[in-house]
Amino acid sequence: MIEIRNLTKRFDGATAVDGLSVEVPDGEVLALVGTSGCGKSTTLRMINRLIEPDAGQVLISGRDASAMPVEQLRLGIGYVIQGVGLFPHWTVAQNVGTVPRLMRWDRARIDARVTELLELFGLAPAEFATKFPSELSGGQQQRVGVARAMAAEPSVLLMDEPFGALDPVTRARLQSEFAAIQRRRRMTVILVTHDMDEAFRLADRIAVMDAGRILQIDTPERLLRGPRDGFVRQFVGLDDRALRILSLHPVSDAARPATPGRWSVDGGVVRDLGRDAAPEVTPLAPTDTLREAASRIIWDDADLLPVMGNGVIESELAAADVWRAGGRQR
Amino acid sequence: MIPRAGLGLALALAGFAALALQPGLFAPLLALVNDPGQAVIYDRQALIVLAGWHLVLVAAAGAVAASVGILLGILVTRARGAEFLTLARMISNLGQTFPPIAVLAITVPIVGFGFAPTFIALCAYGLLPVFENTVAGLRGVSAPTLEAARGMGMAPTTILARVELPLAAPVILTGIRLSTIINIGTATIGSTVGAVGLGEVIIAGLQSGNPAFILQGAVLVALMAIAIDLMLRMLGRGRARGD
Amino acid sequence: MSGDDSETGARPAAAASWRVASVFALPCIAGLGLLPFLSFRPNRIVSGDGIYLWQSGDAGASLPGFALLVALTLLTLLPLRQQLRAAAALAGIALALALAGSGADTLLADAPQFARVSLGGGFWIAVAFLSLTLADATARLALRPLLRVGLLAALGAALALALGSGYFDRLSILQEYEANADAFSDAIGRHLLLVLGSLAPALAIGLPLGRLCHVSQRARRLALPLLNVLQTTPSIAMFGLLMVPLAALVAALPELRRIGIAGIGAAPAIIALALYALLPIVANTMAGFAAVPAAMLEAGRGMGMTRGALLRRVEVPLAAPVILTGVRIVVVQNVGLAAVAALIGGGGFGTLVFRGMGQTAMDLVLLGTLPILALALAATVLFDAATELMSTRRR
Repeated sequence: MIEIRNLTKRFDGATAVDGLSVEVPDGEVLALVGTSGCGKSTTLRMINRLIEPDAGQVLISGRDASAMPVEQLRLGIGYVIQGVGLFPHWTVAQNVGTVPRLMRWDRARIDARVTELLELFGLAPAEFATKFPSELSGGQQQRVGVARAMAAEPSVLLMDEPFGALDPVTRARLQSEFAAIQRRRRMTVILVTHDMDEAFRLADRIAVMDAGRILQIDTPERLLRGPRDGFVRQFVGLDDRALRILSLHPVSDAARPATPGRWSVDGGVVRDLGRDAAPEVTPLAPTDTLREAASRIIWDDADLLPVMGNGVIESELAAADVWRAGGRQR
Repeated sequence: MIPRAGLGLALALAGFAALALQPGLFAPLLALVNDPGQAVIYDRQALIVLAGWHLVLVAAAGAVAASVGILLGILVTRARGAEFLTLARMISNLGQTFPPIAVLAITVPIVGFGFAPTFIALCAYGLLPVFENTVAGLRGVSAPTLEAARGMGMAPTTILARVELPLAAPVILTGIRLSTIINIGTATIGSTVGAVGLGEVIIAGLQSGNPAFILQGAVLVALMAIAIDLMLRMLGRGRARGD
Repeated sequence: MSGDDSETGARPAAAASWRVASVFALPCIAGLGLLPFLSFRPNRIVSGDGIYLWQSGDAGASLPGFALLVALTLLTLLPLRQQLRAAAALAGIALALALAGSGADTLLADAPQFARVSLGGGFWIAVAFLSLTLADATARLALRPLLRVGLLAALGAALALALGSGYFDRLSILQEYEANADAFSDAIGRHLLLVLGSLAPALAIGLPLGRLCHVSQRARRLALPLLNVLQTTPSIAMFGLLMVPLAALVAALPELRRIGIAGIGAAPAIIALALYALLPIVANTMAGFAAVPAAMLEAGRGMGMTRGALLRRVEVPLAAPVILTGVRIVVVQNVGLAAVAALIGGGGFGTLVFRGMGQTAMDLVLLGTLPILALALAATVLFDAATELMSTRRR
């Protein structure tokens, strides 16, 4: 649990963060979004005191951050930055083991933790542990950066544009990997980004910031359905909000029980018995997003698609239900 | 590249050792450039002893120059010393326009002839490349690396010892190498103000019109400088990667 | 990322804080207070008695002079505009010179014929640190290149006028000048000949070689280790190594002597200096070409420029400032090395330095050293200004 109360910072007379207050409950991912210079990075850096606030308070699990020795505070907070900042003279294993070493864990425990984390991030320890950062691709470096931040099992993870320097394909892959890890680990995360899609993909709640203040803080869907003022509307991007809302939901949210006798499954091939000539169809998975489902519906010119889980047709998804999920009255 | 540098180093060392320890072997060769009857091998002092003093002078001054230069470089790159950075760099740039001979010439009136002026000139002059390179090396550590180190909870001294200095080491080592090479040359000139070293052999050759002396002194000093240069380069390459 | 320079970065401050300024001012005052300003010697080569500034003239002039000099130095500590700081430092230097001149007159008024007055540690330290203040203040003013060169010329002219006025003639260093006036004027020409004469062949070889090394890795592999060895060889050794074979060559082909080539003298010196100049020129030529953005070459090629046009219109102009920096390094380096050439009869200011050392006449050593320093500093200012002009014009 992170409580931020009335946090304020001025640089050379200009107010960068202006009396900002927010609470992040345990296990939540909060995204701070806004244009550059809105104070989101400064806010983040005041939590681990890379910047000392001029006024206000940060409480982490109820303890006042300003009352703790600064290095002690930082050891308990994972920190990921855009430039990764891996230590170029240390191997991947040494990099990941940095904080545990600073905390004087014993050797065996560090080794075990490093191996566990490398496996978690899909970096085979036998291959990667002894490599140097310069021998890794950008995506691999960023994975090591996140693994390093998580090494000492911090209660809080701060991420500043963590995937910003990557190409779109790698970025998307790392985002979904991180989302999967987060679903299991339930860390308390504050994520700074200017990329709205990243915020929608990863965050439980999004705070839109401008001029050092939070304009609106809400779940992604509520933000899309009810942006409060002009800046938020513009920043959230309303042109494709229906599609964005759909992308927030899995197929299982809008599926209904399968019509008996409509679908035949034969050796993995699914056929639609409700249409002439019973054409073969590719079923949806319950974890696909409604946005992907909408795309399939349009492409296949179908009004009903089967949803297959555990090898059987569990349910079906009707086009009308998809349209309703993305529509304004819900 | 490395095997070639290794070969060069072996050749330079072998040549140096042979000429310094057994100059007699080269007497027939050296006699070719001298008039008949002239002494061929410098005998006022054994060449190896002169080479030893030359090295002692360079090493002692180098140790002072390197430690002071690195320390100053660290100080002006800390937050508290930052206001002195521009100043220190200006002095260092000005200092490097001072020719070594001028540094020697200025020191002599203050401390007299002999070991002292050369030692002081070597310390002062050797300081500059080490300082410059320490500053360059420390400032070359990337901002995200430092940011990450601080953000992870490393104390400033830990960051300096475990991140900044190891990363700056190759650049600092280059500074030490440049400083040492310049100092080997300056120490040679130091013989004109009474420092004991290989320069003595060359000066004696110049004064008495003995080309063989000049040649053996020059070859020895050149081989010594080349061997040390190659050694420090190889050390630098070994360090460039890994800790 | 938000701007947080306070902890990690070092922003060059426009104004010098008093802490920074005191690095210059305090040693200056300490030098004046603790070290003799002048030294009085019964004759040319014996060591002398130290005379402190306040003892140096009649009490009516030297004590207020001392106080004024300290006051001017303290003035540089105040948070003044840089113009005022520079002016205070310049006034301090002028005052120190004037006090030295008048002090020498007073001390020698009724001294024996061969008595000498030399400048002491206090004088040198005060002038050195005031000069540093002057340099620091002008650097912070960030003057335009041509103005800097103009100021340098004005300072030089003022100094020449002052020295020519006869006011300083009783100082030992000027007495050395009088005794060695011919050697001094020879030395100017010779020193410049050595520096510039070695620069020409070094450029003629170094520039094409640098380009070749930029284009061909093979050339780089062959040339750079060789040039490194040349650069590593100490200067005296290099002079010696060239002198012996040249002498042998001249002995074999006496005609060479008629065109001015001999084992000792200017020929081996110029060859040695040219060899030393090669590495910086080649290295900076390579660095200059390497720094031309690939996108720019691509664009040039895309617009249909031939290789020659690309070289002339794009690469050379963009690489020029870096190459010029290399030339500056070479000139400054060779100004110093040329002094060593005196050992093999190359002439130049080194002749005065070594003659002075031989006679333990320190003022003669200084007479040779100060012009070397002045040449090196002037070359630095000139080349820096040229480099800046070249790289700012295009922006």
